[in-house]
Amino acid sequence: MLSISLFKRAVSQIRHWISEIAYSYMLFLVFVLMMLAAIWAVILHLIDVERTGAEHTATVMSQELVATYQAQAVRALREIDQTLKLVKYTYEIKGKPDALLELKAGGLLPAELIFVVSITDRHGDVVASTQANGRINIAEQDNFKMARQSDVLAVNRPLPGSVELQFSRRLMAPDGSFSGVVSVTVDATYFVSGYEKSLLGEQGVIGMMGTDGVFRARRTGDVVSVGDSVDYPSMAPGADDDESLPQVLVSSWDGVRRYTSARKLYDFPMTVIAGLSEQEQLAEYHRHVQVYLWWASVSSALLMLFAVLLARMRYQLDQSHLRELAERRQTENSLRIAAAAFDSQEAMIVTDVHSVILKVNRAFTENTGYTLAEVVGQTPSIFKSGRHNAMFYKEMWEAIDNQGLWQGEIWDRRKDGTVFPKWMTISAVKDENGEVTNYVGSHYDITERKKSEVRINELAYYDQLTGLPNRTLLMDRLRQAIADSDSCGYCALIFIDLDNFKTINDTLGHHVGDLLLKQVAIRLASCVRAEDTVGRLGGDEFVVVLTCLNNSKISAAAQTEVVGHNVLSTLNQKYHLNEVEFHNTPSIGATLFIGEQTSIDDLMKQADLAMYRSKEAGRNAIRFFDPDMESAVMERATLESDLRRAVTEQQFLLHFQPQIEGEDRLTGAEVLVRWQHPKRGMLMPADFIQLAEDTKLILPLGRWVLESACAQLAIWASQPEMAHLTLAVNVSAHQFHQHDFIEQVLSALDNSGANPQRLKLELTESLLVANVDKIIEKMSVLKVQGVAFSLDDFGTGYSSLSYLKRLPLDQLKIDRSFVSDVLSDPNDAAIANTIIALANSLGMGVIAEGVETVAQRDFLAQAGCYCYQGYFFSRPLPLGGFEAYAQKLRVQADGRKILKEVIRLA
Amino acid sequence: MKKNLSNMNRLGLAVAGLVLSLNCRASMADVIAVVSARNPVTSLSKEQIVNIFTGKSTLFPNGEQAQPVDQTEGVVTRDEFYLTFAGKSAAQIKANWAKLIFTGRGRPPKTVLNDSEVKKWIAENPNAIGYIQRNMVDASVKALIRE
Repeated sequence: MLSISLFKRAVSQIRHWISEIAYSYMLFLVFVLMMLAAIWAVILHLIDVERTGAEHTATVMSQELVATYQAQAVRALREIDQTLKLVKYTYEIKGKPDALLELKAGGLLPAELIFVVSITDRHGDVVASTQANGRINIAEQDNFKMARQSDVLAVNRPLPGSVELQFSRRLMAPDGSFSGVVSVTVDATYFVSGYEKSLLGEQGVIGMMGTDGVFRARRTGDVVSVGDSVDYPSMAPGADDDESLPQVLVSSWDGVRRYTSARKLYDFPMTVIAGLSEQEQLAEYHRHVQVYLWWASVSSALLMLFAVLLARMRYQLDQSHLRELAERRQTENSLRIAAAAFDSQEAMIVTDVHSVILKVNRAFTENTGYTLAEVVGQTPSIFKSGRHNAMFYKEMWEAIDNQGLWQGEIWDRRKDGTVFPKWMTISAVKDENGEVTNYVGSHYDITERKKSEVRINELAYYDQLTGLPNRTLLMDRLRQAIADSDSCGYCALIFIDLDNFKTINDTLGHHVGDLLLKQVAIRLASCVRAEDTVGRLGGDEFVVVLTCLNNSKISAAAQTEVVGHNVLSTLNQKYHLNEVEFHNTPSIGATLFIGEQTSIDDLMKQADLAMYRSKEAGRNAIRFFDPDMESAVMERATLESDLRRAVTEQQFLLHFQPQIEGEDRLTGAEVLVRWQHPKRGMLMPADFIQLAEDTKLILPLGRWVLESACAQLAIWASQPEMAHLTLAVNVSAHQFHQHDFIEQVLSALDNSGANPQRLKLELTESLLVANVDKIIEKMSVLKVQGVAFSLDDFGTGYSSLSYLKRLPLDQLKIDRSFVSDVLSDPNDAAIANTIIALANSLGMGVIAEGVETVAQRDFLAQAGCYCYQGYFFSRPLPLGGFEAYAQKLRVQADGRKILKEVIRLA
Repeated sequence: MKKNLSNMNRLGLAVAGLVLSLNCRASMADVIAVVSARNPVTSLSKEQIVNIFTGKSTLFPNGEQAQPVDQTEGVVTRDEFYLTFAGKSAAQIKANWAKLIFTGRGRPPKTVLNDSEVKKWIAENPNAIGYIQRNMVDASVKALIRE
């Protein structure tokens, strides 16, 4: 472990060191070049020294060799000459050629193996020889000729094909005359047998030549040459000087460069040379040079390789350093840009992955009022306005998680508590692994934009002068009213035009005209319900849309006329404009609509036309587009005043429609009101009840009916045959919702003394649509007194079964519309069955109205409904008629009873 | 004009000699070295014998002067001797002596004409050493045992 860590440390140290070196790679390159220069300088110097040494060695060797050779050659020649002189002496003393034999026997002659000694006569014929060679004449040989001439050591030039050298001296006869020659013959190789390869190599040379330039012997390696001649002066330089230095010469005979030395053999006409092949002598030097060059080259190459590697490493380091720098610069730039961007006008907030706030910018603190220190470490939930529910935030985070981004409008709270809208962008910041590291939110306050939107909206939809809806919005409301009218009843469109407005404008000025228009706007708004619309089309034209008036066209028209008259009277009141008091009148046109039978354009034309008709009628009036409607309204107005009188003058009377249980048992009657109109005669409820409702005359009327019914019950109470009958009285919604309704009922009962248990109040479903608890409370109070309740028209409205269960009802009444088709329409049959089943299950009674045939009655009886009301039994009857009907039923019943008794008795 | 003494040619000569000697073996006895019967030396190695005959050595192992006696050039026994003992031809032996003489380092041995002459010489010179055909050995000489 320790060694590994040491090793690692060492490696890192070396790496560091290398990188340091590499860091200064230029210096290193210089260093390497210097190293190279040094290496090569040393190598070249070494080569130079080596060469000098080799040359010196060769020179010295050449000199020594030639000196040795000189000595050897001189001695060899002397020995030969000694022999010659010895033989000559002996011969000349003895005068006999056989001197040779004596000398030989005496061992005075040189070794026979090498040397042949011979004697010739004066003619050149060999007369004695140490070697028996037969007759040989040497008279033609130049050594013979030379020896005959003088007493010198003569040497032959070897004949072609011969390698023998023959040295001769003259022999003289006692008289001094020439008598022959003595010769020593020796193989030329003898003179070059001292060739030592260890010294001279294969290309060295030793040789002996005459001063005539003819080689007597020459040897190179194992090759001996004899007899060839060369240019003596050039091939034997310095031969005369024993101290002369060798010269490098190209040997003329074989072209080899040699360190050549020459020495003259002074006693003899001979010169020896010794030559050392320059190539051989310098071979070692050349080998060394090669080795030096090889080493120098290899080390140079290694050095350069090392340098290149280091330079490359350094280059890469530099590059990566530069890259790092560039990256850092880029990062710094990015950060600078980010910082600049962060301090933008847009409020920014940065959180960590847990939504903990890390940073906000100045725009954020300025916008929210929080300081940086107050929000860092918090979560953005501190800004919650409470305007958004949990679902809103859930969806927001789902978008951030799934798309990495959420954008939208959000209401937040400032530090001072004010809530403001902002346009918010939240992005998830992810690292390279795709993991969310931060969230960045930016927002800008859109309070002003919101205001602008409202303002734009106002400009787009509202009249600038009066603040009323302009034409655009009016058209929109009108469209809406048309759509709604299908379900909620007739609506009205009213055009209002100010009479003589132009004159006011012209005489009093536009600003007064404008003030008037503003006043008119305010007054018009006070004349309509909240759900209605008052608008200004432009100029002095105003429009009113009345929505959901009534399902009855007449009623709706009447209501419209009421509003119209209200407008007339309101606008007729005095105006105070700029201290000026004056009077103005409008002309009003109206039209009614329901559903989409008439287009908006047509409705506008209709209302406009009606308005012009009112102008034609002399202004300050209201006219309907439909003339019939106008007359109907007129008629209705008449009828209304008649009705008022009728209520005060008690022009009403009660009719009774019998209610039957089973076959013919009378249980009571439903009370129905009739109006005995002084001019029109008897009017049915359908003719006036709606009007009574509209005009609230239903209240006194209803009260009269209730009191009359109670009075009748009290009368019947004293008649045994009528005392058990109940009376069912219809109660309108208006009546029932009166705050003193209970008191009215109770006082009617008290005042009449009627038995509350004989009184049954019939309520309609429409009465039950609102405030059920209150209704139940009222019903319960009366219920305790014994008053019964029946639900009229059951099945036509929208009764909630849960309400139905809670209501203290005694009876459900199946509406005549179901009963009439109960045999022909399976749906109606099903409804009837259901109502019956429902009543049974809720423990209520059930009665069917409008029963007109026996089949209907039989169907209902089979379904479980045993109480009936309808023409099959009897139409509504005046009091007398009803009492007679009751009498008749009684008689019939009694008759049957008697009959049964009779049958039984019989 | 040129006399080639290259190793190749020497080898050729040696082979020729060897062939010659082998051919003669049937009719001739081996050549052996002999000394005087009085000479205490009884055995010499081939190398010691050759050294004495080629001038490299002048002494017997016992320190006595050795006087080699050669046979005349061209005698078969001679050629056989040098070929058998030194593995050299007559020409090589001659070149060797030429070199020794020229460089002043020695002289060739005395030569006699034949085996009988050798025996005669040895008989007269107790320090002499020569070579003869084995079948020529008699009481006058002592054949050296080749070690």
